[in-house]
Amino acid sequence: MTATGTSTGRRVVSPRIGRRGSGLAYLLILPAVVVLVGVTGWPLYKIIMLSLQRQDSGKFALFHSAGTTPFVGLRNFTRVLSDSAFWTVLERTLVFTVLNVGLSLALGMGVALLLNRVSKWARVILVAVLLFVWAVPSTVSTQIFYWLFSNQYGVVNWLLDRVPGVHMRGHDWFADPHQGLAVVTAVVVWGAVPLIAISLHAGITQIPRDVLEAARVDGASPWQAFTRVTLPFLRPLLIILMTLSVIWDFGVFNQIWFMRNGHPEPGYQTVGIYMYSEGVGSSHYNTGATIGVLMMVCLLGVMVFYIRQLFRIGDAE
Amino acid sequence: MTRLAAPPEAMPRPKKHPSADRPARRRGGRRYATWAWNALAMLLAVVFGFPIYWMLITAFKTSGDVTTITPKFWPRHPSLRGFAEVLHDPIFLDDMRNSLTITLSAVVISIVIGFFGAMAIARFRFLGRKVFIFAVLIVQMIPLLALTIPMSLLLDHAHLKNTTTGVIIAYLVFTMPYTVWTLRTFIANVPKELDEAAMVDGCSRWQTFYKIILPLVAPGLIATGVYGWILAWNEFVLANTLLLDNNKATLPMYLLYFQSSPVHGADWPGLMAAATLTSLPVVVLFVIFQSRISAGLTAGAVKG
Repeated sequence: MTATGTSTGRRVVSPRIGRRGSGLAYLLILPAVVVLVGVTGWPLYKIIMLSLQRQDSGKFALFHSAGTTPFVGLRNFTRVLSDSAFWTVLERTLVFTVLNVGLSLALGMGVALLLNRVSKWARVILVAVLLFVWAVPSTVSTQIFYWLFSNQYGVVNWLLDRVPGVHMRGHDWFADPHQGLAVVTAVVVWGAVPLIAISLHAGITQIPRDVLEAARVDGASPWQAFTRVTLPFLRPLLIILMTLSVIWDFGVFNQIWFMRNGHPEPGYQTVGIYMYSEGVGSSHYNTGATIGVLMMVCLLGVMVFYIRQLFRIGDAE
Repeated sequence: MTRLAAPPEAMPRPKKHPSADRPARRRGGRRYATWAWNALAMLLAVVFGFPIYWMLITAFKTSGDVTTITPKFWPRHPSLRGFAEVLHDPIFLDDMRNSLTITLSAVVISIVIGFFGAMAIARFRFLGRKVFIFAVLIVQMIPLLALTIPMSLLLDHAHLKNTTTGVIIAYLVFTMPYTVWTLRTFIANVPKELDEAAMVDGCSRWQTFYKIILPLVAPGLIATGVYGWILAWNEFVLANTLLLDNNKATLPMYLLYFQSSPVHGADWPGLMAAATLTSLPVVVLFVIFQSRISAGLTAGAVKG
């Protein structure tokens, strides 16, 4: 509603620019539209078509003689959805997503509050470290953690072994997928905290001082000040960070793929890995496409929510 | 803060409020508390920084220094052997060249196309503008992973699979919409009155673009380009699907190849040297441009 409000407002201010440049505007967006249609629209169309065609591993049949791969309606979907493997994978992905998003946001918020509370020199140091962490590619960070958690000479095993009563020497973290996915969680959270902490810290500094001061003077405890003043102020930012985290963690790939040397065992499969192994690994293009469509459907709600949020803040205007 | 609190009339409060004398005591307590928080912050800095430190330190170790029961927290015999090994590997050099070509091309194309697109939505009102914005936004949300299958088939069909060109085209999926969206914010921050004044002074539309707006959004172009660079440089799945030969691969693919190839076994110094070399260009650029990049990323959110 605010969106239309401002747009009409602007139109009143400069009607000249609005009307005269229309043709030019179309010329300007033409290349972008061509790219959007070519590299996104077409593949999207293709993935939906693939999901509706009979499973056929021959690339030739899919392209050069379309007649041999007949449409089978929703049969691919019923097949994928009636496979218990899919549901196991989906459940694992959901648990993984909730855990990772929750941990990333909680830790990120904690670090943001801490940044707000410490002396300047401490803040500068911590922010610098976070920036470096933020910049490390996920492929590289996974390899670092793979090395840190290595069973033979990994530092983590050595460190845990120092704790009295704990024997971790030679412990293999990747034999049990649950432990392996815990290491993956460590990589994901390690990489996600900087963005969340630094954005939230920037958000906290925007909160007017006197509002927090007033809350304190009125006898609010630090916890009350946090829940009643800080959180409501950060709400829009938190929603955006949360949706982005959900999208990223639900589609987690590199961290698992690299942690398992490009061959994740069944116990490590999340939806993204499952789709890739089926569709690209085993050349079951139609099954893979079907899982891909299901994956997008799962995220559709989150996407719509995110974009509505952007429009509500007026950023999309 | 203390000065703000000083004037008594500024804070009308009940006389005998129990917390009336608290601020003074609190301030003393707060100083100790600040030290405790600082210590916690330093602990966190160590925990978060350690993996990076460990990558660097391992890269400079010899194999003998790596395979010790008690880890060496400082290399006893610092060595460049890991780096030398990687830099003398022809596949690494090929892959680095491929990464450079692909990343640079994708970013330049995105910036040019994206700048025009961003101009259109920041400066014009036209039928379909909302649809275009919506498309740009939704495309950024589509999981890239899901598009690997159709993308690979389509590029195969166009005989572009296993080619650098194919990967460059495919990378526009994620670099271009992001560029349009971020540049739009930068252009919108240039007051429209400047364009109008220039046009009154006899500039044509095109002249206002490159004489007025382009110089003003140049920092934005650089920041956007840098972030696009980071995204493309780090991308793995699409490249892994589209490129089949070792000498056509990109650096992230090289890392996995190195890690999983039996030749290199548990060559941790070599692997960490490769990882360091791969992340170096990205880390340096990111740390320099971070404030601008994150301003673009969360501009809308902080604006509240």
